Amino acid sequence: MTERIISVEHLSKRYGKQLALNEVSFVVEKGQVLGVVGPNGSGKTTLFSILLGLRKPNSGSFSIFGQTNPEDVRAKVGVILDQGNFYAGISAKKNLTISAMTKNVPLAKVDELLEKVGLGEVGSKPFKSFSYGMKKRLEIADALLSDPELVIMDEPTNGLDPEGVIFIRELIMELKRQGKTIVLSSHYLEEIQKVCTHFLILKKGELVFHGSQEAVLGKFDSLESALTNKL
Amino acid sequence: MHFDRLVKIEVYKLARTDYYIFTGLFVLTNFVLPLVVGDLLLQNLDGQTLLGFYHSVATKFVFWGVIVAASREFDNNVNRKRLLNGYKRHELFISQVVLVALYVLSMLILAFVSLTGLSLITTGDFSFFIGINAVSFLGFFLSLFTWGFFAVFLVNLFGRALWPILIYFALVFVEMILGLMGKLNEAQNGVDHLKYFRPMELMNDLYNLGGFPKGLILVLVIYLIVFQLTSFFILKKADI
Repeated sequence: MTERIISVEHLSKRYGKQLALNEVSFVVEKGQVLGVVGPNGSGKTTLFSILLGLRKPNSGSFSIFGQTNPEDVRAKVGVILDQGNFYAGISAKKNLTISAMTKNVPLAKVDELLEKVGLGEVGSKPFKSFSYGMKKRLEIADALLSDPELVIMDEPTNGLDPEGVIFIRELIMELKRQGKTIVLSSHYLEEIQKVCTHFLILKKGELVFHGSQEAVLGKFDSLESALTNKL
Repeated sequence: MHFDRLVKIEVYKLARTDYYIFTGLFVLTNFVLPLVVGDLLLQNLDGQTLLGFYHSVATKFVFWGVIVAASREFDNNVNRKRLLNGYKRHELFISQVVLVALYVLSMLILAFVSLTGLSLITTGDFSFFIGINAVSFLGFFLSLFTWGFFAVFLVNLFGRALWPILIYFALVFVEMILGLMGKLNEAQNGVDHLKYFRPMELMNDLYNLGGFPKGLILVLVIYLIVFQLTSFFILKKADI
């Protein structure tokens, strides 16, 4: 039987009168690469925030690795958010060292990962001096510190140059080969189609489609038409 | 997360320019400065007087140092990263208590070293320590902690460093007005009821622990409970 990594049941979230997520249910199994797509305001970031334990849902439930409290599975989850949330005034290496200490990871991994993401030579420079692409690479290094089984990426290619986009794509393919489970959101449909095995389409907080790449392409001509189609 | 790891992380983070500036300034004002103007300043000084002077400087450094360090966790959504990396929400609160303790400990060590150095240089022995009573020292210690907790309370309430700084100066002004009104009341009725509403003055007066009225200690404890509970619930409940 395939291992369930994420299980979401009837999840709803309101901000005041605005319904950000409405009765969303889905399951992510081990090894899947799930692309969460939808227009701005569709609820992607809210969904990620809830799964990461940063926001609380109004109703419904979810579990990650069978645990209902995301705080209990932090070591198994790597997170790449839109902007790197690091201390601005200290070096990339020191930032990563703090993360390694927090995650109880050997400090030798810091240099190893800085090299892996191509920041080995600029590790001593302060985070605030980094370009957007470099910040994203540092975020990736941070997410991979604990060798997580599940990687959640919110708009990983957003704002990156072509080289950065290729780097992220290759990273996802490498993680996929290693059997990691990945959940990512992106506006770049062509890009996301190259790496995802499954898709979850959200519109105004409603789940309008969830299934494999074959299923979505069997039902629609492309991911773009699935998004624009009035389901 | 184990407590010792949490402490190690706070110690590692402490080693930053602002910490060296605050501790350097403390040494400058409490050791180098009295030495430079030695004859002028030290002639009639004793350990107790110096401790009072150290207290007035250390409270400021603990307050400003903690504001700078604690507000850094709110810049750039760093607290969100900390949660995602494995901190539990209550551990964010505990890490702030550790931060305050580290600042207080730093000031205590530097005060001790400064006092020892000045005593040895000016009297050739440790006579500056003879006049210091334990209650004053306890008051010094507690007062620094209250200022540290007040700083994290303001940071948790307002986030970035700018607002706590502005609020501090606004409170200084309000307490000054309340102080004048209190004096007026005292002159007319013999009692200053407004002293209960001047928390920063209470935190400073804690240094004179021996003569600190029990009623005011209770009021100060209530203030501290409010500061700490507010900090705890903000970190525990807020969307980060």
